[in-house]
Amino acid sequence: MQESKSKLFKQRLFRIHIAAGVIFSIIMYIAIFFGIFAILLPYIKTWEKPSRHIQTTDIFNIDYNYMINKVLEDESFPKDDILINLPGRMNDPAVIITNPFVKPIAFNPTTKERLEDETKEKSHLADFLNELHYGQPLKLIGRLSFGFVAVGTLVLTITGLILIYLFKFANKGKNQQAVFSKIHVKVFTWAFLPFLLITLSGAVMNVGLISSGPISKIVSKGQAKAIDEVVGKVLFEENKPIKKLNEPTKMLELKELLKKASKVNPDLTFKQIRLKNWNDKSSQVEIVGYNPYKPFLNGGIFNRPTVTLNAQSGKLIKNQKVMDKVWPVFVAEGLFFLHFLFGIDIFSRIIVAIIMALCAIAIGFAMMLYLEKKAKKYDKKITFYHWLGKFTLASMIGVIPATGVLFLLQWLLPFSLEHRVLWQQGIFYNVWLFTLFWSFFRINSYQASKEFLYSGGLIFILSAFIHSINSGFSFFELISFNLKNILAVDISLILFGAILIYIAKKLPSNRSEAKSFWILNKKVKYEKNI
Amino acid sequence: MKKISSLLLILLTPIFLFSHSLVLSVMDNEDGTITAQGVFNTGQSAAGALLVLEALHNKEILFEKRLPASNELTIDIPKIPYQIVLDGGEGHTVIKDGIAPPDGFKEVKVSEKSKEKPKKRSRTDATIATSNAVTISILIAFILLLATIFISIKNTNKLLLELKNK
Repeated sequence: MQESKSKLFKQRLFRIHIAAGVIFSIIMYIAIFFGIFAILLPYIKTWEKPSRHIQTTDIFNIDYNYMINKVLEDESFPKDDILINLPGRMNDPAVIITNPFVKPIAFNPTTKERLEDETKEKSHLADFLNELHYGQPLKLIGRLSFGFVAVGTLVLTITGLILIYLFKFANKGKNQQAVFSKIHVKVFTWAFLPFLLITLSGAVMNVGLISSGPISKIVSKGQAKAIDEVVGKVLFEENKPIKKLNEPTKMLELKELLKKASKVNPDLTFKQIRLKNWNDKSSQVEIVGYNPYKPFLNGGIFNRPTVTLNAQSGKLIKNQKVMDKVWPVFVAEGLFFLHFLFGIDIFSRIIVAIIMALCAIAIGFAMMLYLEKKAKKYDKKITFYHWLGKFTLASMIGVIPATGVLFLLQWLLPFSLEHRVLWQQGIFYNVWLFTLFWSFFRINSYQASKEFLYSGGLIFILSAFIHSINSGFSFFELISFNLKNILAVDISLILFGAILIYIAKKLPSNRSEAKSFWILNKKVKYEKNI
Repeated sequence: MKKISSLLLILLTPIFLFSHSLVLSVMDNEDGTITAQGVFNTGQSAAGALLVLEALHNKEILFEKRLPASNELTIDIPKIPYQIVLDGGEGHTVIKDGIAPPDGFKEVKVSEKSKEKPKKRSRTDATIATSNAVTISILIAFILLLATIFISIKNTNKLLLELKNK
């Protein structure tokens, strides 16, 4: 009796896992796929803009004061609360002078020339990939759907872990389905923790949208409509204005102030400078940094360690360290850090990207396992031609050439073209839709997937070469001008394309080949062991 | 309990804390002036945001200045009906009706031209989008969707025929 109950529980749990998996896996895969590009967003952002094909320089050796004076010549530019983004912040090689209420102005840090910054109507590749990651193109509906999928993924992870514990998968089966199951189980056994944490923070960001309003109202007894009003004052330090003395004074060179700040807190990597009452006797500079020795706790939105100096004497006013904040700030910062990877170096980013890519592959194999089980029912009766299979194929594999087209068009479409970004995005959506057509057109899905991978690979490789031709920077010039980050993106595109072509070449081209494909490899391995 | 609820709230904090909303408060000083104050709902400064006083009848700009570090400006009340606009950039513009001066607004003569009723929009004026890129993309998308349905039916029939002939 007890045994049959336990069996029934396992069966039901397994069915819940499968049903939830089929519902959530496609959107989850898409979120992860574009999320990998979002992890590399700072690099793509530099690659996509002609104005950022510039050499960067040491932040302690830039004539910031000249740039500020140039900006302040414009009467309409705000005179208070001026922000200077230092080169290297989000991988941007330029110096950006801005205020939350005006268009940022970019400068070449070496030549001090004003750069013609591309608007989001001209260049929007990295941000668009990021928007696709969290469903923003479909606005509220998209964000909510992606948020609920993240919540659903939490259900899948928990049920999956219980199943692994209960079933004790032997992973020794030799047929195609057993191999798919093995890959799915193995990957998530090892990668579930980072996957769970990243998904959890993603769910908070998207679903927090609808849940925060009512809760804020309840907690504040109807006073606050949004969560910002309730927690904002705890999370963000209130910056009280400093009284102006209205005595024009000569300001110290910002590069000298930066050097002083680095002596005050040598652990910080400086990212931004805020100017308060600039050119007045009461002026102060707040130099914002990131402490790489305390990841998860700073550098993001809520906890930014700062060194505040007097702008005319360089005297230290305040040295705010990472641990000076209250615990709710650390909770919020840690949660956001998990998702945004603030200030993290490229190697750690690549590791996270690889883990997430493995998770995407594992989701793909789970879907293949489900479809294979379905197809088996019709074996030797009729060719399996199912809408879910075709839709999955277009969504999961068709997205690859479509994304490749985005990269290709970034440097293929002239920057002077009107509605350039709209053309680029329109073509991307249509190529993706075309892959759906092609999936239905080809009865043999194996052939279609090979074609998608081949074409995707070629397009990614081509996009690197088109960039090289149209940007005016050959690969050798990128090396000689020390534009390593841009060269790294080109190399990554070529490598990614080559991997896709290799996979396309290796994959089986029909169902009967596929059956022996996985088993054959196993046999070879077995023979070698003997 | 308070700690638990504040932790719960922080965990539910959405991404758009990044782009918190701007709050505009207008006070009548009862001396023919008003004080307009702009701050973010998180308590952060809105110094630099553009404050505009706009005539209601012809949208003429009566006053325009960026908020200083104190986040507030004291302005003489215009004699004609107006509105106060705090321009905080894309999606952050706050508009409030202007407070009347102690002796009320002066009557404004509206020109014949502005009295004319705006032309009624006809259904034939409608376009899918302002850009050709969007229009063409949507058209192609529809063609592709129809083609997908067509090819799916064709292939299904082909497979069913094969099954019949077996």
